[in-house]
Amino acid sequence: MPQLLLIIVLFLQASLVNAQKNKHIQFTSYTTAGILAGESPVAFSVQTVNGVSYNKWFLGAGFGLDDYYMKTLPLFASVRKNFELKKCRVFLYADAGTHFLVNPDNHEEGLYSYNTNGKWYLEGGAGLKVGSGKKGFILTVGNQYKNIAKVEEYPDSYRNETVYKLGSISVRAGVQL
Amino acid sequence: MKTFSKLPVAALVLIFMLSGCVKDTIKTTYTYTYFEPVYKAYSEVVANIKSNASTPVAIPGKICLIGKYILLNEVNKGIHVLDNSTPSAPKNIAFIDLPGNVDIAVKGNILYADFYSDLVAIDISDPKNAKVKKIVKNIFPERYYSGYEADSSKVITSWIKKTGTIDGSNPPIYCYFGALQSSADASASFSNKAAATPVGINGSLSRFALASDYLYSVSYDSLRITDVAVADNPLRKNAIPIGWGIETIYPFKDKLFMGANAGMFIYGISDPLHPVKLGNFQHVRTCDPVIADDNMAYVTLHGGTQCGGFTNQLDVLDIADILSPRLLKTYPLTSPRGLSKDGNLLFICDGADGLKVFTAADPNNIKLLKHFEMEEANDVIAWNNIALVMATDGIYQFDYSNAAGIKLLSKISIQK
Repeated sequence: MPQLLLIIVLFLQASLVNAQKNKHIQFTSYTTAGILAGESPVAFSVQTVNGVSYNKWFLGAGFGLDDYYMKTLPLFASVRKNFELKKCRVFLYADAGTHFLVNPDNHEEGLYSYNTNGKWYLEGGAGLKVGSGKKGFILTVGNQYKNIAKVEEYPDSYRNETVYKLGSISVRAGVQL
Repeated sequence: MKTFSKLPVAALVLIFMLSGCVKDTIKTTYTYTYFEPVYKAYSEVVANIKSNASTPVAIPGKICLIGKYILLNEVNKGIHVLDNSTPSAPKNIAFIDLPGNVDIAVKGNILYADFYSDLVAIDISDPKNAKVKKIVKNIFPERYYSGYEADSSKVITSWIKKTGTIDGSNPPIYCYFGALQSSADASASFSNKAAATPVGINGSLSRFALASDYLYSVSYDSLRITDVAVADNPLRKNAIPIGWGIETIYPFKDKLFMGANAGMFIYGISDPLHPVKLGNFQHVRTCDPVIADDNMAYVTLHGGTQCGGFTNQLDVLDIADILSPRLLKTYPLTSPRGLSKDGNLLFICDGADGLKVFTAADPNNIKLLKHFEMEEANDVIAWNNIALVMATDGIYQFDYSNAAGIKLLSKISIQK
């Protein structure tokens, strides 16, 4: 995962340099806030995704905060494809990365220990942009998936791994700059 | 406009489609370690209870000094025979295969050893050619293995470590067997020097004690007596209940001192077949081997183990009035286990702190004389100016003929 993020950062850097030369490549930022709804209580979510657009494509990296089941900080790569309609623009997006627990449940007592860590973070969905030009208001609807693993261990005796697979619908609104 | 008006509908359709993915699942995978027994035919195992080629020491247990030999239990495997003619260069000369063995004692040329629930008498007059003389069945009935009880034609000779995995919401039931305990409760003391036939010197963690013509052994809650007047023909005698949590037994003259989870018991054996409780001393719940002389008993309390409690100290008890032992003084220690005393020198295995040697001429003023660091010192036998120390990293021997200059003579490393 760190390698993937590094590749994305390098790509963005190269793209931003090229963006100075190529009018089709431009820096784009999406900042949204909203809710996550699933089997667990509805939770708040906020994130910002920044990257470059080229023709109808966008590639960037994002981070945020969400409070679904456990408060976590997602860090992910994002790909978006835009579709021009008459009075608005819609887009499909896919995010993939990892996430970090704000309050990790860790404990160590002699040889016995347990640790909780964020694993995969995935989200896919569609969005709507209202407004002319590059800037505008956006509304997204997607399906978020994140998993968290808690490992309880006593060496040479037992190891219990509990995996939380958490799926939710995300609805966010925000701005595109 | 037409397209724009369709967007909310499209969004609703999208939400509907995604709703199948909205689910929280919590799944636990339990990975556990267990041991699977390896069986051999009883007749084959008994035929192999003899001196075989020596093997490296891996999990040392109880220890016994007899003459120029050291007998060292390999937990649940058998007994190493070490020639200690030259303490600076002991030689591992043979290994007596004896599955299920954890305790040993020696009277004359006969080695007594548990063989799971049975007692075996082995002739070691020639340690390189040890021979079984008698097996007394079911002396130690508590030595069975729940769920793995072999029938009478089979014996568990070893265990294979395996790993299992269970997915689901119910955790597996973890099983613990005494046989799998590490060497932490393994042993070494010094015994009744007054016995007519020379007897081996056991460590303070021993559960076997020889006194006159009897072998006394303790289980968790009872004292068992075996008649060994005819050394190679042990005879089962009676067993008496003596409370609970009994860990160690130490013979001194006509008394038996027993260390228990919650105290120390003193039994008189003037009538060897009918031990009588003389006195006891209660303390906090913990592990506690005990040694004694005419006037004092020395008890180490070791907490943080399966015995419970968190007390780590040496208690010196005044036993001049045997009916009413009295706490004379307490000395703080780190994690004390086995101990031994020779003259005014008191040797204490203080767990991860190693071996500590104290001057104990005045029980009210015991002072640290020397400290030897080693990995988890468990038990010690101080005898004839040689301190034999069992630690998890090796068997050490120290020369204490000059108390001011105690020096290391040898170390037998343990195979990790």
